Amino acid sequence: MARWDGLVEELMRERGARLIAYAALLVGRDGDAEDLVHDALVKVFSRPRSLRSVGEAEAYVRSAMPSIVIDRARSAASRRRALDRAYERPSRTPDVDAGLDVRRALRQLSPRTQVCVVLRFFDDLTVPQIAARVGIAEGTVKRYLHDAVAQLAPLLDVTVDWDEDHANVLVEARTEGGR
Amino acid sequence: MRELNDALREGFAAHAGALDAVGVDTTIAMRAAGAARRRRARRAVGTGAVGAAAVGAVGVAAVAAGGEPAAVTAASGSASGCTALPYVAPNPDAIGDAPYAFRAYVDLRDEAPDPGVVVVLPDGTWSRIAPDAQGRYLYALDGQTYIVAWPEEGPRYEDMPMAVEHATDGSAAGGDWDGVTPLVDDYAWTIEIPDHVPDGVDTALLSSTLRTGMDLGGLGYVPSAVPDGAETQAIITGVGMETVAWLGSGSAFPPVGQPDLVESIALKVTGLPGGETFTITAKHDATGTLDVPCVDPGAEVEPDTSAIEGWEPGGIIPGSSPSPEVSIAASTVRP
Repeated sequence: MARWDGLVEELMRERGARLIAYAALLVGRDGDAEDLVHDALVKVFSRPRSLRSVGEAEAYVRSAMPSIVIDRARSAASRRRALDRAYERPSRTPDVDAGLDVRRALRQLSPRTQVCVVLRFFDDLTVPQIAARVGIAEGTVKRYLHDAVAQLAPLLDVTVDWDEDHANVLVEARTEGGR
Repeated sequence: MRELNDALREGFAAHAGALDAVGVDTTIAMRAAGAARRRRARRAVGTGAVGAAAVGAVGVAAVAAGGEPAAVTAASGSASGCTALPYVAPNPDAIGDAPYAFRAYVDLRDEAPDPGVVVVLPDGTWSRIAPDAQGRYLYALDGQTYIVAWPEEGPRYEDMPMAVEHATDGSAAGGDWDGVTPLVDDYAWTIEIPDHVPDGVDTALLSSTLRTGMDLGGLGYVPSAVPDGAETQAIITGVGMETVAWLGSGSAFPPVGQPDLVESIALKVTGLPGGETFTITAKHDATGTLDVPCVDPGAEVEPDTSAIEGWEPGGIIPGSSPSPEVSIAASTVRP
C-alpha cells in the first residue's frame, strides 16, 4: 500500500466524522456529504503532495470541498451525476438527527449561497477571501450573504450581527407569530 | 438568542459527534483511493504523451520499482495445474477497442526467485527483457518503443513488484503485485461492441473508459469520443441495482457500493444525429476469475532488441526521470 493510501484510510478513520459533518454543512444531506468527502479525497490525493499529518490532510480535504460544490452548481452534468448518486443511497445513509435543524435550514439556500455562508460564518473567512476561494465576485458574495442571513435567521432563531466593508447586516429572528 | 456562527458550530459539533459514535463509512476511503489511483495514472498519460510527441509517435511510459528486498516464495502456479508461472496474459476479451499494448510484470527485488521484467501480450506470448546500459527496460512492439521500467534512475514509487498495463498511446496504469499470484481479475469481463458504429464515435476511447468501470485502468471519459451534442451515460446494472451517471470530461465510472453484485457496465451515447443511440457493454461473470489460464512456457519469445538499439526518447534526458510525476506513473488498478 502506498503511503498516501494509508493516509487516506487514517484520515477517514480518525477525522471522517468531522469531514462528513463539514461537508453536510455545505450540501445539507448526509448522503450527499459522503459523496462530497469522496470527491474531495479524490481531488486532494490525485496529486502527489507532502501531507505530513492527518491534521494537514484534513485541512486540505476540507478546503477542497467548497470549490467542488461550486463546480457542481456550474456543471449541469456533474450536478446530475451527484443527484444520481444521491438517488441511490437515501435508504443507506439517513440523515443523523444531531444538528439536523442547522442542515435543514442551510439546504434551503442555493448551493453557492450555502457555501458562502459556511465559509463566512463557520470558517470565519472574509468576503474577499470567500470570493477568491470560490471564484465569485465580492459583490455577489455580499449579496448571497445578505439574502442568506435574512432567510436563516427565522429558521434557526438566530441573530446575525455582520459588519464587513460596506455590507452591514443586522438581522434578528422573528417568531412565526410576528411575521 | 444564538449567533449564526454559534448555531453552525453547534450543529457541526453535534453532527460530528453523532457520526463518530455510530462510525463512519470507511469504504469511502477505499473508493476514493481507487479513484485517485486512476487519476494519477491518467495524469501519467499526459507525461507519456509529451514524450511520445517529442519522439515521433513513440509511446513512453515509465515505472520505477525496487527498493528494499522482500522475501518471496516460489510462484504458485494456477488452480488448474498449469505451468507455475505467474505471468498470466491479459484477457483479450476485456480489451475491446482500447489502445492496449501489453502487460508488464516488473519485479526487481534482489531476493525474488525470478527477478526481472516480463512482458506479456494479449495473445499469450511473453518475453523476459534485460536492462540496457542505462538500466532501462525497453520493449519494442509494432514500431513503438516503450520504457517498461527505469529502475536505477528517477523517483521510486513502491518497494514492491508491480504489474503495469501499457497502452499504445503511451499511457500506463498499474500497481502493486505480490510477485506470485496470477492476475486474472480481467477474466471476469467481456466487452461487447456493436458492429455498427455511428460516425464520430471513437470506440477506442470509450473502451478505455469502460475499463475504468472494471477497475482495470483506463482513460477517463474524453468528450471528443462522441460527436458534438452527444452525451454519454455510465450505466451499472446488477442484482437489485441500476445506476446511471452522466460522464463529464475526465470522469471514470462512478464507484459501486457492492461490486460483487454488478452484472454489467455500459457506456450509452445519446444525442447522436438522427436520434440514434450507441452502447458498448462489458458483462461480468464472477466465475471467470476462477478459471486461471495456463501460461505456456513455449510462448516465451526473444524480444526484438534491434528496434531499440541506440534508441533515445526525445525530450527526455537520459539517466533522469522523464518527469517528476513519473513517480506516480504507475498506480494500483487492483485492490
